[in-house]
Amino acid sequence: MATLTGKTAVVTGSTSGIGLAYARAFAGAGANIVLNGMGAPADIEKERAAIESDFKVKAVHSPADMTKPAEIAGMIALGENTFGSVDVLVNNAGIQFVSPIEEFPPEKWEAIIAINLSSHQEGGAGTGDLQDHLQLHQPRLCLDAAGREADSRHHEGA
Amino acid sequence: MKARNLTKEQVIHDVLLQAQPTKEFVTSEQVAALALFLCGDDAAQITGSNLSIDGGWTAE
Repeated sequence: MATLTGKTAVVTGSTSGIGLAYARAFAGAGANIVLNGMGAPADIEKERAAIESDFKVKAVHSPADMTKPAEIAGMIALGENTFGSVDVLVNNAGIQFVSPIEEFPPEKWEAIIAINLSSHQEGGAGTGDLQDHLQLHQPRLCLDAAGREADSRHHEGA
Repeated sequence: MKARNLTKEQVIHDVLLQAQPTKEFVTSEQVAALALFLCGDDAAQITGSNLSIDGGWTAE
């Protein structure tokens, strides 16, 4: 399994669920972590501190809104400025909304496109030479995740 | 929430897991473990791929 000591992983939507599992797995391999996502500040701080104490790495939280390109760039910059580089980006954040097409709210459509699609490009662009590193077979990775968790949360009405 | 007069447990066992070849849900930790594998030298030649980790859901 990968050893990521000294590397930095940014995981979008990582304050809970699958995103948090990514963050904790990368921390377990030695990477410093940029958490991102929404939630109660106390809950986020609890998870951030747990990552640091459980895995002896550093973790910071970025509240960047994945519908706002400037904030996404700021999230990447936070990782670079805090830890020196961003080596892994997991585009995990996603939302879901289900509705008959004739009733589908335009603002929900825009938010889904912004978070589930456009934010991946913004994050990747923010890491600058990510593609060059991939071609050099460095352990530098851009993961685009899609899951069913958003669906299940929606259906459970949670 | 009760949709189609099914309980949550009925939906899980009779609808979702019925169509799931492994008859189990994928855990967050299992998804994260795949991501970690992709970061290692053993996965150096895996790039630009779509990898499913869904208990066979899409292959069924």
